[in-house]
Amino acid sequence: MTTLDAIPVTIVSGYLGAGKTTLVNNALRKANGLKLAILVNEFGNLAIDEDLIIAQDDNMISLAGGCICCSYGNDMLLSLKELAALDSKPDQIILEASGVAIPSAIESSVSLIDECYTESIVSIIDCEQIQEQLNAKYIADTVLSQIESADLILANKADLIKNDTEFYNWKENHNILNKAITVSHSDIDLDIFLGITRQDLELRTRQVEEGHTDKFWSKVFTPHTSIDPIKLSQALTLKYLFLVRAKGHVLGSDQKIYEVQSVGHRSYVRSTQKDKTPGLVLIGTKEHMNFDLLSQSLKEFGSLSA
Amino acid sequence: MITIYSAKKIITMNPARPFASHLAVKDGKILGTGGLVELEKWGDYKLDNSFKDKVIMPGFVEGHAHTMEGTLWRYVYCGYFDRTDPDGKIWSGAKTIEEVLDRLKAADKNLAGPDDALSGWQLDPIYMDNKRVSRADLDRVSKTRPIGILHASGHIMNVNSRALELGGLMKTGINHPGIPLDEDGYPTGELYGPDAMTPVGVHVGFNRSLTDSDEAGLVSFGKLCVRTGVTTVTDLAARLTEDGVEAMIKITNKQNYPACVVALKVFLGASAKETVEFVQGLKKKSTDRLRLGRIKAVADGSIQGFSARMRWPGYHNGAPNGLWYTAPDQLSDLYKLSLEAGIQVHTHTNGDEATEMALDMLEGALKEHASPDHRFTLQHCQLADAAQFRRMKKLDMCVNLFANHHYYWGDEHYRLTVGPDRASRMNACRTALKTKVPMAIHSDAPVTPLGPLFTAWCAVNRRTASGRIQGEEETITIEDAMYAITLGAAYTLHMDDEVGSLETGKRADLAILEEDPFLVDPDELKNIKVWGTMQQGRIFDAKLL
Repeated sequence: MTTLDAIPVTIVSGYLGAGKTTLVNNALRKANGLKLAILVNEFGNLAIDEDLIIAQDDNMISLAGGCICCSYGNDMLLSLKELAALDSKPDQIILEASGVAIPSAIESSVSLIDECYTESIVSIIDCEQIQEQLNAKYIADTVLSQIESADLILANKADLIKNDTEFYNWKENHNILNKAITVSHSDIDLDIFLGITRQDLELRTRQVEEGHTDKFWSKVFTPHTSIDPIKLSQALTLKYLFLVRAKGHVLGSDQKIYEVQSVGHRSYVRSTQKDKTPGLVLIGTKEHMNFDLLSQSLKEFGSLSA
Repeated sequence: MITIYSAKKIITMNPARPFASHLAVKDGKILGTGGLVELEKWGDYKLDNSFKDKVIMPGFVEGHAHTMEGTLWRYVYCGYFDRTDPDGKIWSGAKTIEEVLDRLKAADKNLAGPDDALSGWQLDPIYMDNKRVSRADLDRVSKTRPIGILHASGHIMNVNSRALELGGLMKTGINHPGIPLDEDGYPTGELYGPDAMTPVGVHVGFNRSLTDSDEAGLVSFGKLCVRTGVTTVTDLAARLTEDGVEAMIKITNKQNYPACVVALKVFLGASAKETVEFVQGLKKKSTDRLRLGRIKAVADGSIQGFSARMRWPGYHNGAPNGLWYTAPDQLSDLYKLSLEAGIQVHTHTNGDEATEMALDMLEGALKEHASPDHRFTLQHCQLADAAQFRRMKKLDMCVNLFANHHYYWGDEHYRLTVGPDRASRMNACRTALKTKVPMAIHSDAPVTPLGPLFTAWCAVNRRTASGRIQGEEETITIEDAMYAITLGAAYTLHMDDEVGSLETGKRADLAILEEDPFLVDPDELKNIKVWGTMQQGRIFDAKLL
């Protein structure tokens, strides 16, 4: 269990050209009051769109909406600690890894400090290149391990796929890629990419708000009283449920309130002192939508909104 | 003013006039070599007979070292082998963990504050039956001050409880591949890799800019150069920050600085385009004794750390393949932009897959930006096979092989990392020469000690630390080894027109030796005493440093 004031870190992984930087810039544009800190391996490749930049010195770029961007050079942990020590503490950190970095190794390092925790590993692939890359002479194992460590895979540049049928057949049959979410121009909702923010969560569970975009559905899950939060968190990661993300609060059998969260195969539970209404928001893709199976699988923990 | 020096023998490495009895120097340059009668014709001169019983060679060129060795000597030497410090003191090797601890205890008493950090370097448990130094061992030295010992590889560190505490790692529940845990659930104190080392390292004197040398370190490093006959030395992976460059200019410009430092900007943390532009700017800041304007790229990790990228069949002990430190596409970008800008790139490749990758990327880049005489150099290149050397030749590349590594870790490579077959062809000097790839050999100081005569001994004898000759077929002659540490290395730096041989117009840089390397028993090469050096006509007596 991580402490509640630890800052969530989303590790963005992917080979060169997959769309990491665009993904990060999109997130900044959508931040809408969320204070994001971007940590990049290098400032070099125009990490941030110029129109978002307010001020820049050697170590830090100040961005619109109270967001910031830093480069971590050769001491990632120190940079994370420095971000956590800022007066205006970021709500979330996006760590953009280098193109050949193995994200699970970064996660191990993040786990060494108490100030932050890994919220999820998001790997982005280039649909046009991925088949070739997974067979490429030097980088195949690197790209594969980037995908294997991911909680969320974004299959980017879907608009550039030349033969749709062939590609989607390949993807569906490629075990580790079948849950990948196809996107274009690294365009993805923030609550998919970074998770549902705490403020948003309150609102959505209270109003039993359901959302549907052309790609995703979201439903509110009302837990029974006195359930085991850890068991629930594990159930949410069952592969055949194809849940993209889940987040909310439950009342544990010890009568304490817990925050439960899952993304892909990662889940975590944290005790929270605050007075929260039990309820979770579940998000999945329409591509893999089976509410009967979902209701059935989670029956012992609670019920889905109609 | 002309000075003519007499010597017992002058070995010029200039094939047109290989030996001479006298050498004329003017304005820090060589006016000529030959007999006194010939040189007298230049006009008024002063005859200097100080070296009449010495053997003179061109000043040695170390093509792969790091000036940080100068800074490390302020810490406690914990190495297994005897090693000479900048002041000429020979530190005997510490043969057991108890000896290492005794040394630390002695140093502990000399530290003023109770919280001052105690740091050691060059530990290598491989030679101590792989017995590890534990946190408890170091706690016996001190529980109040943080203690850290950096291993010879530079990739592992041992620390005590206090250091772990300061680094925030003295806790249970850690799950990190670089941080092994004790039975009690706390870290053993052994930290692997930069991610695990850095949080604690900063508290024991090993900060994150470890490879950068400070002013005092650069001065100490200069002394080591004099003691080993080196007059041109690389600082092969410098960050070259603005402050760093200013300090280097300041120190090397001093009238008594004894070496020309060739500093390469490491390709890390900036794009290829930015790096090339930055280095083009740096190049203009070059001085007589500080040469800037080259780039060092790092393709993979190390073989003994199992982070080098290997081709099939991979590591002998079955360890998974290593890591790319630079993506192929990034290296390709760097090569293209550098070729276009006329900037030279040296690339660290240890595993043979990394070597292959660098060859592929350069071949592609050269098709777009044909560049005569680029002299792009592969550094270490320890596992290259004959076919790869043939490609290097075709691509006009140079190679700088890690001859010293064979001595220090050859037994490990044989036993563990790559197995007997490939261990025998590691650092294949004879294949490189046979294939006519321009070749240098190096120490990678501080990983192994600076000392071109020792490096030459390694390449000539291929003896491992246990005394075995490993890969006799790849040994080279003394002549070839002496070429490699002079003109060979100078060539890889585009400096063979300036240094590396004693010829009219070249820099008056000399290695002044007590014996003739060409006449000693090959096994004695490493024992030849160095009197000192001459650099740009200035004389440096090792005894007077």
